[in-house]
Amino acid sequence: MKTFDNLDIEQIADQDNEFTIGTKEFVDQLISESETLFRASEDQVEAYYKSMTDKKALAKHFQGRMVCERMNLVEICEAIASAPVDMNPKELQLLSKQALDEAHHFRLVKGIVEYLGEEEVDMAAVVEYELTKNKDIKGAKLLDKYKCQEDEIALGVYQLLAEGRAARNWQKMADTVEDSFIAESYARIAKDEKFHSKLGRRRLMQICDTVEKQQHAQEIATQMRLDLFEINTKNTVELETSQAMMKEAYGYSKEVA
Amino acid sequence: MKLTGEQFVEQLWEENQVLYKASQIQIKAFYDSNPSKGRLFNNFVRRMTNERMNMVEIAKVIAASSYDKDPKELVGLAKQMLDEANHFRMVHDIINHVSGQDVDLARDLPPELADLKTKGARIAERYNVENDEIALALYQAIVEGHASFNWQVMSDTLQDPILSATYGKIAADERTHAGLGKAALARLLDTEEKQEYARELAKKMRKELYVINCGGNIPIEESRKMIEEYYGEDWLDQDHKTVKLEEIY
Repeated sequence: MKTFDNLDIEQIADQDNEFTIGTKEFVDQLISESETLFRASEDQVEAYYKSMTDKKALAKHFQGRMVCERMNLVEICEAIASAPVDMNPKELQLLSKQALDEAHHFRLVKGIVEYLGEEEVDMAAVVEYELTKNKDIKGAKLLDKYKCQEDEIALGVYQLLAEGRAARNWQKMADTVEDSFIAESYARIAKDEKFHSKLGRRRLMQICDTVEKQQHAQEIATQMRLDLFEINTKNTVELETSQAMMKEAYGYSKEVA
Repeated sequence: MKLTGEQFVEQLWEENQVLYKASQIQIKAFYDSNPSKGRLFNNFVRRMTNERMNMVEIAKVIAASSYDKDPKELVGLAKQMLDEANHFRMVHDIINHVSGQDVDLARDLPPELADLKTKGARIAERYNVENDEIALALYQAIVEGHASFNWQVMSDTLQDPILSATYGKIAADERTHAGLGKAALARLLDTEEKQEYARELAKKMRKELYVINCGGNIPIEESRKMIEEYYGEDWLDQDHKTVKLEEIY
């Protein structure tokens, strides 16, 4: 019997030995097929943060990121609240750990907004604004679009791709920005997002055990990569090189997306 | 005269102590009465289900939180939710360890979830903690405080070192959750009206917790007397049977 701390919980996400043969290969292929999305997004993130010097505009930008973390928190809590009674306690531990991470991120990014804006955030007004005016440019809106609360394959793909992209983006941002307060906060966030992506990998390895389920996951991933790139572009800068990479790998074009 | 938030919380905590003591006596009596394996199994399943219910209730509170909720408070709640998920897993593993077989959640959980009489977590739902922050803080301070004393007496009573250590850890977490509730109450209860409202809710919660404790353990005559003397009324029905401690020991 163990008493669980964060390290124990993170180790659960790394255990590969309880899955059907074939599912691991399938999920790892989904990840490798997403590499172009991750790289194209990283390039845009790097270009954006290198070019962004206006502190007030950055504060506004981080407001959006802050509310996105809050949306993630709420969505994960809704998934926990409506989990089927026979859901394995390990899975509920992992989801709860993810929710705690999202709450920490929300608090950390609030600190960054206040640091850049040099004033206290009017949380009610900012959350209201971002959820009504800017919802379309948030990765977390895909949880709704793909009905992740009812479709566990969609939730797994979201964790794998959206959180995987977030991990890469935030690490790139931490490496790019010169301000150590922002860099350190985002390095911590990047590490957590990597863990969340592992949760998606683990979940998909558990459930994608038939051709039909793998096909469903593949279809979601194909569209979600395009959606994530669109969101990435709207939140950073449009880079022709990134668009070309996406076109070559996934047939991306602005009009189709 | 109006008390400060801190003074009110101190008084509230003091007024919980007889309930906590009375409940501990009943829990100790249950374990000391050499219950059958079947009764022990049911007792653990009930506790496991209660932890899961706590996790779900806190998840609902976070999901429904107002836009202006301080991120620090959300971190505190999310930590509590993770603790409850850990407890659910720990008690689940204990049942497997003690019974030598895997718990069938699909079979064992639904009847426990439908049972309204033996779960402290029901209080969260009944007092609408999703939409009432005073009720939420009272739930944390009183119900989680009650849980911390209960898990501690189990930890002290059980001979198995693994069970004892596990329950000791759960008790420590519950103490932290009670601390979150106490801190929130000290901040929230800044008017006489709010303090009066909290006092009334606290009375009802204590009574429910005692009745729940009687339902899940052995109702002890001495505990009943302690409650009646301190709180001024008998919280059990007249025909509710209780057992004298000398019948157990």
